[in-house]
Amino acid sequence: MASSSHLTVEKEGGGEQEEEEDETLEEIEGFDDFTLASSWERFISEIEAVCRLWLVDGPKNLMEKSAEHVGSRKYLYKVKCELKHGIKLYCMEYYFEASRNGKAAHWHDDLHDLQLSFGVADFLVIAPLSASGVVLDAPESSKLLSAIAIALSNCGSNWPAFVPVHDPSRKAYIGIQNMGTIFTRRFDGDRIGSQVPIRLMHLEGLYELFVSKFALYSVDFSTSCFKVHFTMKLTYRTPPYDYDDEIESEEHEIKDPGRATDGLNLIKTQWDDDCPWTEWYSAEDPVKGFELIAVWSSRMFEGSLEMAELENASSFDAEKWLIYPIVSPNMLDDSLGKFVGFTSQLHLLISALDASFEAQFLEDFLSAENPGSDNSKSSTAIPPPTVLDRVLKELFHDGIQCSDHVELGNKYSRSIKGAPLDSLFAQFCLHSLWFGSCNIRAIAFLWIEFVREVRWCWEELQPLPRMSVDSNIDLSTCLIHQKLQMLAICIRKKNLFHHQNCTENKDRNPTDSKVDFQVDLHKEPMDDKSDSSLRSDWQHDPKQTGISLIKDAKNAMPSANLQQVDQVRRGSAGVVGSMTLLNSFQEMHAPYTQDAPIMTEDMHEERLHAVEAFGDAFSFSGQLERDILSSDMSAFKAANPGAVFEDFIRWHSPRDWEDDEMEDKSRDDMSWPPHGKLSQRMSEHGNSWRQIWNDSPALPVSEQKPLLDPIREGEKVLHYLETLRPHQLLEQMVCTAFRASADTLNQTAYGDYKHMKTKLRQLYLTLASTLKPLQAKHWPNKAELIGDLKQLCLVFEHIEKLVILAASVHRKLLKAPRLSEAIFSDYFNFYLPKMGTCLASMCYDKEFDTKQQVMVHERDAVANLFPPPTANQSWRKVLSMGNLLNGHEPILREIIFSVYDRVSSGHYGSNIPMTTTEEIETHRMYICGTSNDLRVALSVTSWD
Amino acid sequence: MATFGNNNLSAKLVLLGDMGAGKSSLVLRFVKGQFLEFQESTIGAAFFSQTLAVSDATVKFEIWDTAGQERYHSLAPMYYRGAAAAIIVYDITSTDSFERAKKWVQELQKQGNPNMVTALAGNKCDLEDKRKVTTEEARAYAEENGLFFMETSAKTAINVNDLFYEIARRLPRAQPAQQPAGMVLADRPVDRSRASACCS
Repeated sequence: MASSSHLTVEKEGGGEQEEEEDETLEEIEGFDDFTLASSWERFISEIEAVCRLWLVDGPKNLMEKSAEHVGSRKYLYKVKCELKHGIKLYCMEYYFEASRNGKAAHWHDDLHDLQLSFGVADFLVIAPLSASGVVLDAPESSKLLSAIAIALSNCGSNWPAFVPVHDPSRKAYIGIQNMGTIFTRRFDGDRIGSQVPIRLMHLEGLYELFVSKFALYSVDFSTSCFKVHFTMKLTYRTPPYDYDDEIESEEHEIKDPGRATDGLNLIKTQWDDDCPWTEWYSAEDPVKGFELIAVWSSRMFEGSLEMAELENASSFDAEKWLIYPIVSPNMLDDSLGKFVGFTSQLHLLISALDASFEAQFLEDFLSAENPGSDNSKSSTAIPPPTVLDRVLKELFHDGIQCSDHVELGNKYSRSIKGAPLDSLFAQFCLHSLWFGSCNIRAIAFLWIEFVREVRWCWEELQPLPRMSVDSNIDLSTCLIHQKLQMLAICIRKKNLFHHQNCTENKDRNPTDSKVDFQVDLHKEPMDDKSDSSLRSDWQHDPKQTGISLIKDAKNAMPSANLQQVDQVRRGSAGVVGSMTLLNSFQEMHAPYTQDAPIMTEDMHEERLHAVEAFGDAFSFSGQLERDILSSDMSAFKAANPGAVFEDFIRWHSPRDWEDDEMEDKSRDDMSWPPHGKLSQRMSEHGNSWRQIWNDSPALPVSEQKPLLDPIREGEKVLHYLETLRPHQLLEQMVCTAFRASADTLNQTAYGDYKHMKTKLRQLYLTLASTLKPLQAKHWPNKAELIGDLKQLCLVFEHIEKLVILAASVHRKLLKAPRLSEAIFSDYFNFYLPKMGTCLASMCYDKEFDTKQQVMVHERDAVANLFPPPTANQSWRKVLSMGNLLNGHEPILREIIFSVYDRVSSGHYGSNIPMTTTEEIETHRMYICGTSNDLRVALSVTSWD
Repeated sequence: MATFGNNNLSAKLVLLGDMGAGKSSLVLRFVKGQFLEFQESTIGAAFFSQTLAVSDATVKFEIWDTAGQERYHSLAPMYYRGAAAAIIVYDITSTDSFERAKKWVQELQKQGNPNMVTALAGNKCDLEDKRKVTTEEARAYAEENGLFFMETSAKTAINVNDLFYEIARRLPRAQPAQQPAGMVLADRPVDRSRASACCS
């Protein structure tokens, strides 16, 4: 080495320089140190000083002081310092690993590029502080490298040092490492960016390239005993979706312009065709593809033919498969307007809620005088009538058969005061999310038309679509839904009433057979319905009371015949078991009874307030039930002429009828009159039940005043809908839209991902608790609430994106559920800090690249991600590398060749004790190539 | 729903159970300290109110006593809707009434307010010789379903006040937490999203 003389001089003077680092100080003192004669020598001493500091500190202290993490790598840290030589500034960086013991495995993920290329652990890099960041001329680079080498050997360090050379695109480095006194390792790396020689595209050629390196250097070796270690890593990327598909889907898009909304024109492929959200929007597939890494672990090769064989070997032979998804960067970008989904629309809806306070009536938003109602502005635009017609048609005429919907929402969903997903109002809310730009004017427009359509149903006695036929009102839903439920019931009752009138008409004109037929058709199920609802009321404990209704319609027939015989009996629904009347030994008939009147929650509140106001001074509270009781009694009297109060009690409140003796019970059915008496509380003097009994006339249901006047209640509902305040509408819409969106997402099939399930459950809880203040009559702080709702949108966005991702991962790896869950779970953990649940700060400039090992039995499922290329694709592509997987070439092939040599002490002075058995890596070559670029890094250990 | 004032809590409470289980008698014993051997069967529902002092706060119960007849079942949701507490009453001398009580528990779990304090009361415990439902059975069921359980007697006043006191004591604790579990609606996610947007 040319610098060896300097080196010794440096060594002598090293001690002094350590103390005197400041050059200016030296000059003042006038001390002339000849070892620092040239600027180059001063530069060396500067480097040395810095290295000594770093050496003394050691990794632990450096980490505490100023070391920074290198990118996403877990273990790697770096410190840097700037140095000046002549007019040039250099930056020296020391990379070191914290707490990793020993040498890392060949294909460890966390390796720095230089570590991987040259097989080193800690290292120094010195580079000029220039635009290119590399040393452009050869003398300068070797000078720089020698400077470091001298400095390092002065401090007795054996860190490898690298200098970037040539132009940056070549990623070329030269480097040197001092290995004890005997060996020096030299590094050289370079890259060809185009026109890779065909020979070097194949394993055979690469092998020969490697062998040529040491055959040249160490002629001592006989060529026959090359034992080359080889390890390889192949990276495959799933092929992009076929271009032809894209064209098709775009055409499809154009054909259906109604569905396309802003921002949706960018969709490439309808990957999510059967996902629950596609009814409303089409999501970008967050999984752009997968990268599969197949690793061949270390093997020994002795000839180039074996290499050629390996090139044709199946990737299934690789020891290890690793996979990770390429996730769209949009997953992490939550700037507004970037993601179109429920979240974006909910956000708009919340803005509409904010705006809804500006006017008293919904019509005000549509009137021309309203300032700012400039139709040209997209934020206030109302969609054209064709869109309105389509939406109304979908709401009222399509898929009406789903009226008897199964309760899809879970119990968490119920805690949000909205409407069930399939119901008319929930569908209205979802439609309005996508109606125009979901602004307040568009919503007002749609609502007014919606109510008009509802009124039409009411007036034409058409059943309301998408409403359950259940005759109860679910009070956990929002008021509008309750009102619509009420209206649906009123329409049904009104219909029934109407048909009853028809029946009477029919009786008068028996000739009109057409009407006859129609009416019968309609009347039959109606009767059944009221019948069955009645039965369910009474069937609670037939065992105890001995009451059971004859349920079979055939058995009910005789009673109908009987009706003709007994003209007085009216409104009977059939005989009650074997019960007979106490006084007349007639069979007891259960009457048709009126359904209990149904109430919406506002009706309730009114009633409860009245009761609370009056207190329990009046028996006001029971008035409604008193009416029901009275109606029941009248009906019972009509169905059972000659019945007494006791008969009614036996039927209506069986536990208030006490059998005399238990042992009599077996005979009870047979003997008459039945033994027993009223319970004490029923037989008390002045019992209000008896009073009501005495006051009730014998009237069948058909002649009674209805407990619920369907016409009046129906009109009340429409009045409510037509005069609803804008903010009341929007409040309920916000709740319902959130719930319906969550329910829709919740229907997504994403396998059994525990994290996702938990998050969805949490979402419901968060929704329920955040939306709760919306139900309050009065908002103390509107701005704060709107702010909370917008925050809620952010939470919702996270979940929505994750659900879409989960669905995408799931459907791509259907046959490898463990793997798909593991991949999702990795991404979930990567994404988690974004959701603000944990305190760790997270920089998202890093890509997700956590790899999952593919089990042997899952390889087929993964290989299916690489469908054999179509004729079209293979025509376009030129295959050149080999190592195909289902006809796909790896996007990257990395190889490490190495040879080891037994070190014999004979080469160098025999005075140095050296274990003769130690093997050292004499040559190592890292090759990283694709079909059009090739990077080669060589490290050679030599003794000179 | 229970609402707070200055240490004053107002809570809606509803009594449910089979007919003749003694719901009205329990309320009457609690509110008026009376017991009628033959309490008239409730028609519909009755309203009472009573205030209790619990440690440093007072609880005003607005009590809705409902009718047990099956016929009025469909009206029950109107009463338990929005209730902060419910007492499900059964008669220890009747297994049927216990079965019925279980049905009520199910219905409340399905339909009711999830934060509701629910008590199971085995009434008529003075009629030990006619007992059909064992204490152990009822207690096991209550524990399984997260109810709090007591055997009471409106006639002898055993445990009646204790029952209502215990409910009052449990009320504040059953209030929903200010922050929902799991997700935090903090300002941080916004800031971070901005940061990440400019990084990328």
